Amino acid sequence: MKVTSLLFASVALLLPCFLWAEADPAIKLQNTIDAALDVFYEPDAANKSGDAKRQQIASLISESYDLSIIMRRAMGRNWKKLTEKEQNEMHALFEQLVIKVTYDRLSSGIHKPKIHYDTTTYESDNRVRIPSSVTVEGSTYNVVYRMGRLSSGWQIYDIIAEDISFVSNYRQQLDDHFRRKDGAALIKKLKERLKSEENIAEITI
Amino acid sequence: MRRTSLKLRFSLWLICTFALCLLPSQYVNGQDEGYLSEEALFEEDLDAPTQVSDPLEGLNRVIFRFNDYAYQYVARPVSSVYQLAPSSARQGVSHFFDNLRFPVRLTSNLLQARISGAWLETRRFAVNSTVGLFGMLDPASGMEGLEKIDNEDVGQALGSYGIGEGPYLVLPFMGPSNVRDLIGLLGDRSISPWVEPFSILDSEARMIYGMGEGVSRLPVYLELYDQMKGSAIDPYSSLKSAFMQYRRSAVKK
Repeated sequence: MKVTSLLFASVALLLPCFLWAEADPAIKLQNTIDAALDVFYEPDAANKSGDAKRQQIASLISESYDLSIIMRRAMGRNWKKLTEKEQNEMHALFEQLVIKVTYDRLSSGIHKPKIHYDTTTYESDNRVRIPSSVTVEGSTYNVVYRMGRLSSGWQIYDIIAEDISFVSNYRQQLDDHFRRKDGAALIKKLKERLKSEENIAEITI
Repeated sequence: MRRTSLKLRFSLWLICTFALCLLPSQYVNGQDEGYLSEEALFEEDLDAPTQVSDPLEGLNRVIFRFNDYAYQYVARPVSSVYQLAPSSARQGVSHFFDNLRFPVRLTSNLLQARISGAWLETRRFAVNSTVGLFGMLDPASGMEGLEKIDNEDVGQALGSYGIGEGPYLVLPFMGPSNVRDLIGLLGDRSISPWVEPFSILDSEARMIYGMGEGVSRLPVYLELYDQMKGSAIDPYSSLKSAFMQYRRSAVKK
């Protein structure tokens, strides 16, 4: 009884800490990035297959963040040009693309990147900017995470690396696409794109 | 025994109450005020930073494909051979050519009336050209007050005067640019004593300089290019957006 009670009491005491981590966007972000880096740089990472690592990254991202936020922002007004079926497909394909990009970035380094997080700036009650600098292979890059507090918790809504916004970059690509083609062509292109991901030279330009 | 159990239960209740008091308010009363609306976030206007004038898109895409082919079948093999050299040697070469670009950085700082930037570049050049063995090392970066600053060029100076960027261009071999940066590039070349039209070097030395500078930059450029291409839905549009965002930000700084 005593042990059970003590366990329960410990959980009760620790609960706010966990929820606070969830409530603080910087802590949530750092925890996710640390966990993602561990997939590649923890001592037994070399024994894991690429697929296992990719799966871990996929779970980590989808459990921590709602990628539809970034996808919908990248789509902008083009979202309404898709049928409901295409919207669902787009959602799944974009998620695969983000997971692939994250996996490629993290798996390409030899040494574990060093990340320094600067002070979080509250732009309003529900929007923050978290500046950071990433040092990898002797070069340092500035990365700013923009997060918003939605009903589902703090969510990343843009990542700005060296002054280049992830969302604006995809918005440009999608705007250019919809000027000439439709949603079906976009879905087809994304599927082909993800299929040929192993060989960059095969990517259709 | 029963008394102990009651005590324990009371303590537990106290702990839980205390713990709940510490919870952030939104988890306790489930209030949904203060949340960002998803619709507001989705519909947010991003047009200003993404709008790029690209009336020559058809021609640009043809040159982009040509460049992609050239990078794949000419630049990449050259870069692979260059990368056989030890990384310290490659870093030395990279520093050497970077140091030789001092006249462009100095003039561009002066054109923008950035006197402190011009003075800093001058001191860095003096230190790196002497202590740094003709610029092959970069001891200045390790000295307080002489840390590397962002590169300046004539294109940025023109931008700081309020001159518009003009239509987006893709230059053969060189990649993304715009009318303003193309003019800036001609300005950079006019300032540099190592390249035409006002070079102090003979034609052989100019060729060696040009090839050396180009090859020393290849590994970094190709890595960035691969990263961009690997994550893009449309690599042409992705590079266009990345370049324009980067240059607009450089002009603003």
